[in-house]
Amino acid sequence: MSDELIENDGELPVTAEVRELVDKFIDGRLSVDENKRLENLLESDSRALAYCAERMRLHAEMEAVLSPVRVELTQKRRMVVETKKGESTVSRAVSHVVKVENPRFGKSMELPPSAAKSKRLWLFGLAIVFLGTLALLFKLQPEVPEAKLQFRNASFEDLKINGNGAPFIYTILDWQDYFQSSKVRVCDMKRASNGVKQAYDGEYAVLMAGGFLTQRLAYTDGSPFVARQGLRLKVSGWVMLESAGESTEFSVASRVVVSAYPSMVQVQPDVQSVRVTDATWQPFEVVLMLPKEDLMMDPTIFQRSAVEKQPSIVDEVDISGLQLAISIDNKTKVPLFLDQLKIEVLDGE
Amino acid sequence: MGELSDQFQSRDVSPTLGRYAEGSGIDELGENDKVRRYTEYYLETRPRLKAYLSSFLGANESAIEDCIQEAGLVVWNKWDGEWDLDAFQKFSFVTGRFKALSWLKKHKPAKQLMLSPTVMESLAEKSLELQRDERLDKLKQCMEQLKPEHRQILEARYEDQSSKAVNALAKAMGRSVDAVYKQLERLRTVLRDCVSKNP
Repeated sequence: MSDELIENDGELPVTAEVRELVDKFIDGRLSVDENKRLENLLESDSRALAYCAERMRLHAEMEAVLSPVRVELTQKRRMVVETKKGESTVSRAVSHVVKVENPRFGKSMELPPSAAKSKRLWLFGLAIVFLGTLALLFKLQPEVPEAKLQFRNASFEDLKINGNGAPFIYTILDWQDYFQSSKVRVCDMKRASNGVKQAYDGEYAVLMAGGFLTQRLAYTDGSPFVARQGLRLKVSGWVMLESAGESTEFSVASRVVVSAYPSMVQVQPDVQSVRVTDATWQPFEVVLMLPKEDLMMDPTIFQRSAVEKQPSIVDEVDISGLQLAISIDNKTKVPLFLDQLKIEVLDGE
Repeated sequence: MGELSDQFQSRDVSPTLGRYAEGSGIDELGENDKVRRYTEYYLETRPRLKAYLSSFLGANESAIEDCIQEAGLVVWNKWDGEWDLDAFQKFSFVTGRFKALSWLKKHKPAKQLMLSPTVMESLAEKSLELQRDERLDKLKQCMEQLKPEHRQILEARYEDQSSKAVNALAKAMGRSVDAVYKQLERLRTVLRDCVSKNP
């Protein structure tokens, strides 16, 4: 084997031996002895190390040119057909799934990940905690944004209302956990009011003529947001009366659903009222708190049977670590609109 | 094209946009800005990440592919769409490294065919020092200048099940497998020089 130094433009010279061993390393053809030899060379010769890194890069780029990955977009359309009071409406929502595949290996990943993968990733998320340490060790310190707590479908724009049908829909994505109510619906504001009113954000707002909205809280990465001692949450948004005149109140509550079947058992750690006085958009803001000490709490039970409504039949429940929900309730039945809801953690993260 | 796509077009987010926009169908990724940006960044990051992970996993391309994809999913879950390409790549490398080390711990490949942990780390660090530049287009042009028989060797190595395809090609060419790999080594050098000389 020649030890002749080979010049590469703009690069430090390396021996023919290094070149051969590096290419064999890349192609998986090193013998045990050659592997040891390459290891020694890489350890002792910075030029060999730089050459090897550059060669691996070239190899990866050649593969990118000759064996590119395949990106496939699948569009999922969700059609919702509703029939209420003799009227039928059809609404739609569109989502995308992107499949990135390396045909060479028949391996692919889907974005967003499928439910099974998400679960595995959630478990793996625990391990991610260590990445910060690794990043420090490796002199890489990317600013990794934390997963945030925020309402899904916060402005009620996620499900498009059929432009040719009624200007409202009773299906409210992400806000109807465990129930659907005919007293709450999403309105296409301009069409519903003949152009007189507008949504605060986007085209739609929710109209509550009684009834309630509930959303189980989750971070932006899909992991559940759970109850913990001393937690303080700020819920805000915009509200307006459907028509001027009678003012009204609605409530915003934190809740934990302990069970939904056969008995609906819920705990309501805190509830705050909001007074609505105007038929124009006004901001509102409430702070909901969880106790600083014990999270053993009495449940409220909602069931058809009056007998079973007695809270005493269920013992106190420890809600620590259970998923929190926010419930917005309009008991007065005076119609009001809500839009652009927000949630923020003040303390207890 | 939808409003989100228009916004994306007007934003200078990635040099890969030019590479993929022309007739590539990248626009078909639709109006989902996050998916589209992620795909752009992911495709841009892949070659560098693959080179980086080779430091740990050598020529085990199947393991590298697993790590790239698993890292990609972690990045997707962590990414809120506000990172620029640099932050995206840094997090991809950190995650990929973690994946590669986990793979090694789990599968315990023969040590005599692996680099030592110290050399792995040095090599990986060196690979990170290489500048991110736009070489794929140049590389493609350089490949097009190769003779058909030379291009055939590259295609056997990179497009097909590499070892079997190279063995079959060597047989068809009436040459030894070692001779074909030696030719491949020379072709890589030719391509590297071609890319360097055509900035």
